[in-house]
This record gives sequence, C-alpha cells and structure tokens, in this order.
Amino acid sequence: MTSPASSSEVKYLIESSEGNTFDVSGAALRQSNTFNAMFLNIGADGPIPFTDYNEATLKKVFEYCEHSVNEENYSGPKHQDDLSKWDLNFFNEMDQKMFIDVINASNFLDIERLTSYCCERIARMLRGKNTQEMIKVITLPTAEELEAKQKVEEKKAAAAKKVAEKAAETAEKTETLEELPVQQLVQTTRNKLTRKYLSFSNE
Amino acid sequence: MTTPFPLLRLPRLALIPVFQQMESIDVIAFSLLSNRARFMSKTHGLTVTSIDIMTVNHSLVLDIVLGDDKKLQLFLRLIPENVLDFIGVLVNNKIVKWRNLGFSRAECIQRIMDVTNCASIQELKFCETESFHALPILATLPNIEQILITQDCNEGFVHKMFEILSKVTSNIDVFQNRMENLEQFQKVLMLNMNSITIKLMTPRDPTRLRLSLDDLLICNAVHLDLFGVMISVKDLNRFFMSWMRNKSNPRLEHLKFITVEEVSTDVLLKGLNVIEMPRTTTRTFRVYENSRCREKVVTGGMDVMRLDGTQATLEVRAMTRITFVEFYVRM
Repeated sequence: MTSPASSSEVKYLIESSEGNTFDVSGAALRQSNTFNAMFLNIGADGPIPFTDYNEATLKKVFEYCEHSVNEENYSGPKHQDDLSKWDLNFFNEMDQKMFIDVINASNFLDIERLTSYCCERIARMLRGKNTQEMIKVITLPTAEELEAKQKVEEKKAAAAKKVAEKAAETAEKTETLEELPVQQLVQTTRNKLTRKYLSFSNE
Repeated sequence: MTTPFPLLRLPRLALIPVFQQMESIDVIAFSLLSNRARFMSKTHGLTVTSIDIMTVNHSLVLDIVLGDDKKLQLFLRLIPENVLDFIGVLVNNKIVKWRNLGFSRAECIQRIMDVTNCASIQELKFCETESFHALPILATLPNIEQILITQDCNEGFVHKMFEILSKVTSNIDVFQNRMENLEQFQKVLMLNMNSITIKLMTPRDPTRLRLSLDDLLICNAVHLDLFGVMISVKDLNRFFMSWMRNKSNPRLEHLKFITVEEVSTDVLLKGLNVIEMPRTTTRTFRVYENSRCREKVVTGGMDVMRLDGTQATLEVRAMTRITFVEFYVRM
C-alpha cells in the first residue's frame, strides 16, 4: 500500500516477521533489486511482506538505504578506509547477531552497496590471517564439538524413528478399530432380526 | 571488528559475496581449514595462471602465480617429520607460517589445486642430488605439464624419477652431462612423450652423453630437442633416410639439434634428395619451446618427402661456433 503523497515521496508499508508494519520511502526501497523486480512494476497492494526478517533488522537495513539515497550510484566495493563516519558508526553500533541478520536481509533484498560493505567487513576480518588465527576468527567447531553435534543428530534421528514407528502402530490399530464397529453392527442387526423372526414365528 | 565471527553460519548465498571480497591468499588459507571451508572457497572461482613445484633443500616449494598476477610461494618441508605441522608461506616478501591441520603433503597440494581450479602442475623442477622422499607425493598429482631435471640430480635418482613420474607427465627437460646406464635412458626415449629435451653443460667434453642412430630411432617423442648431445652427422643423415623410408618414429613433428661441432652439409644431406626452397617460401610448423606448444614460421629451408607423401623441411643454420639443425614435419 502506498501512502498518499507526492510522487517523489511515495511511502511503502513493510511488514516484518512480527506482523508489525512501518513506512519506508520509495527512494530507499528502490535500492533493493529484489523489490524492484517484484513490486516496482506491478505495484504493491497492501503492506509488502518481508516476513523472514524481524522489525529491528529491516529497520536497520532501510535506515542504511534512507541514508544512502542521495549518494552517487554504486560502482563496485569501497574500501573500509573510504567509508564515511556515519557508515562506520552504522556498522560499529551493531552487535554480531544483528550484523548477521543485516547481511542475510541485505542479501535477500539484493541491496548491492550494503551487502558489499558487510562482506568487505567480514573479508577484512580474515585478511592476512594465518590458519590458526582464521580458526579463532570464524569459530570453527573443534573435534569434540563436532562429535557432540553428531551425537545430538543421532539422538534426534533415533527419536524421529521411534515417533514414526509409533505413528505406524497407531495407524494399524485405528484401522482395526474402525473395522470392529461395522462387524459388531452387522452381528447385532443379525441377532435382532433373528430374534424378531423367532418371536414372529412363535406368534 | 576483530571479535570472533561465525562465518560458516552465514547462508551459502550470503557467503558468495564474502569470498568475492577476500584476497586470493586468504581464500587458499581458508580452504585448508576444513572440508566445508574448501567447498565454500570453491565458490570464489579462484584461478591461477600456473603452479610450479620445485624440490630443493628437502622441501617442496610451490610457486603459485594467481589470476591477478600476484605471486605466492608455499614451502612444504619433507624432513624432518616434526616440521610437518607447518607450511611456510612467502607473500609480499614476508614469510608467515600456516598451521597444517592434519593434511599430508600430497593432500595439501591437491587441495590447493582443487580450490584454485588448477588441473595440472605447469613445471616440476628437481634441483637436488636426490629427492626420493618427494617422489611418492608427486606421483599422486593428476598431471604435470613438464618435468625439469637439473644437472645436480644424480643418475640413479633420474631413473627412479622416470619410473615413478613418467605416467603423469608428457614433457621432459633433462640437464645431464653423461649417462652411465644408457639402457635405462633408452627406456626414457621410448616413452610416449610430447617432448624430450636433453641439454648438456659441457658440449665440448669428448666423454659427454652420446646418442647413436638406434637411440634416435627408438625415440617416440613428438618433439625432440638435443642441445650439445654427441651425435655423428652420419647417424643424423641415416636417421633422416629412415624417416623418408617410413622406418622411424611416425609421431615426430620437430627435431632440433644444436651442436658446437662442425656439421658437414654434404654428409648430412647425402641421399636425401632435398629440394632447396626460395627464401620467400614460408611454412608454419608446430614446435614445443619454452614449455609451451606454439606455431613457428619457417622461411626457405630444404624440403624432403617421405614414401607416404608426408613432407618435411630441413633447416641447417651455421652460426659462429654453433650449428642448428632443425627438422620440421608437416602434419
């Protein structure tokens, strides 16, 4: 749904995973290639659902888009050292979870500039590192952790198997239960009819 | 941000741009961390111009020229065993150590080849008297374009090397002054190689490596380059006669013979019925020079014809103290 305004200040409603909606300017939203491909031509009737991402993440992503509306067109990745103070603050105030969510959302929305800066930031973490340092940075699971994970997965698989077996058993029982009343009904009817016939013949 | 970052928890699609932003050297280091890391690194589409390997000082030195022309050297120590845990890396004139995470040397080379999408080693160079411990590792490589054996390698090692590696290579460049066991060497000449180059450091030494007509006849290479090897001009003439009668190596496309001794053209051309071509005549032939197959334009020369109609051009160029005899077969 577009808010009634002048054509240059068209606002779109965005719906987050919590079901909350908020306004984003058309100019900011047009930085998303996904949006351009999906909605720009056909138009959005009602809030645009980006329900895979929470409100905080989407607001952060579109905060960046709103800020970079007036910047020149994106022309390839920029070095971190060339980022403005605002850009640096924007990245620094994010915690790790938010940073990952922003990368995911930005990648889905195909916002080239933001995705590129986020990825450059990660690439920078690994730049010039040797293998030991890289392991520390990317928090690669140790052998013990992998073993524990495998055990958990095995347990899960075993539990799933049990559930499936139980379900199969229950289905079998249900089948027999469903058959029983019919047989009983036939038998009862037959008995009643026999009794009726006998009483009739006695009369 | 220098705090830990769970990179592998990012979805695959989000990882692609991350790898695109990473330096090639970082991608190679990252690929050595785990199997998953290797598969992810492959999405980077890293390419290399060439990977050369050199055996020197009980080490394998990998010379990697990356697609962006950056150079990288990896040192894999072979002995003693206790240094297997580290890989030395020379990049931008700075040596760093990468911890080896349980790979054998062969696995390490193969992983680097895999992640850099490199199908074959461009050149393998043996610089030591003997590098026997390197041979089993190198035998696991899928393909080696060219093997270069320097004069420092002893004959026993050279024969062993051919025994193990002849199946994975197609071009051999040998720098040997003499071969005590010529029978073993004849086995090398008989291999189905694309090119065999034999160079001598002492081209005036009367005891230097000498090849006979039989050696030339059994040779099965497409390109044969002989620098300073002792062959009599008469034997060379008989070899060309055998070629004309279709009784020599049918695969031969180019023979290059360089000698510091005088070559008598009368003896060389006797009975060949050569037709001297004018200098304006140009022909293009396939040659193997400087580790690459390329086309060479030859002007003039003398044409000879085989019984089956195949034509060849013979070129004799006498320069100061050196004579070139080149034989090009038109395919």
